Amino acid sequence: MFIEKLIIVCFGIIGALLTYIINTKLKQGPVRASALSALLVGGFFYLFPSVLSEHLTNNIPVVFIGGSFIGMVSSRIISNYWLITFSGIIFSFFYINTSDFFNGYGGALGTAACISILATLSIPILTKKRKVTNGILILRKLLYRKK
Amino acid sequence: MKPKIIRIISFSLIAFFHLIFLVALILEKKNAFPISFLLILFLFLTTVTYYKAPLIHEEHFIEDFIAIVFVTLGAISTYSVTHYLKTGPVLAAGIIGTMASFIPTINRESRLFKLAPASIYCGCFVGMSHHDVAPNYSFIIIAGVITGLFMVISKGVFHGFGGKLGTIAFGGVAFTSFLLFLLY
Repeated sequence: MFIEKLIIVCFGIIGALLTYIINTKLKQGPVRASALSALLVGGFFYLFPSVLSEHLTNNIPVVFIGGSFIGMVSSRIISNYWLITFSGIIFSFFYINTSDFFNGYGGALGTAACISILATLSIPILTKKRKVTNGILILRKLLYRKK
Repeated sequence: MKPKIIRIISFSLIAFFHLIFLVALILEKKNAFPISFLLILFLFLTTVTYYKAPLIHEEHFIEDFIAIVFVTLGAISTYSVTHYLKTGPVLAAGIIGTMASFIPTINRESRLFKLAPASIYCGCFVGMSHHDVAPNYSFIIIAGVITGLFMVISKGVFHGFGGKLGTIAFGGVAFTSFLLFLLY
């Protein structure tokens, strides 16, 4: 069970990274990058439904296309592969723990992908070094003079 | 209507869709503490980005209204492929989305063709809805038109964000379900 969850998380990350690479490095645009990768993975499991267990065959294409929505992000917004990977992990968390919610509503995967990106984008905001103000510079100068 | 008001409305709508999505998940998992804690943490982190990141773009206003037609077409075609060719929603969206992505190559100068891939792919997400939520074509057409309207007004917000189209589609499907629930 744990291995199956791990495989699902991996496919969520691969979906995000592969789409991001096709989108930004190969310059195919977000729609083609996401749709083409979903077509490849969806097509593979449609043609070979018994390669993996039924649970994985049903879930991998869905988590993959969800991850691919993360990869549709513009390189102006996220240019770091680690942040894309982290978004993929958050998305997979959403998918594994709330799969009942994804069965019905179209767009739920995209919403989870968008929330994953927004949560990831808060990391650079929260860890950004505060600007050194003029007051702090004067204080530093005084301290060094005392030494 | 003023561009600023349009941007504020569309920004609020997307934020509202994210909020109801997260709140629904938190309520679903309220008995599983670690999961609900992480969901609340993600809600907090998302709120931080909402406050600090530039999510409203002054250089964009609204999309062409033809986007509504593209979204509806994308929704109908994905729904048809899913249910009649029995491909499943992912493969159906992959097929329609890949085909849509080549439309601009017909005429690179056309503004209309440039608009088609994103709009049709947004419609694909509507068409990916399960039969229990979207029982017939009437639902898909109504959801497609509402999603198209959301897409038209949301050009000036979340530009270049992955998942924006999905959020709009989720809003369209959820709003249509709510509307039909009130009517019947």
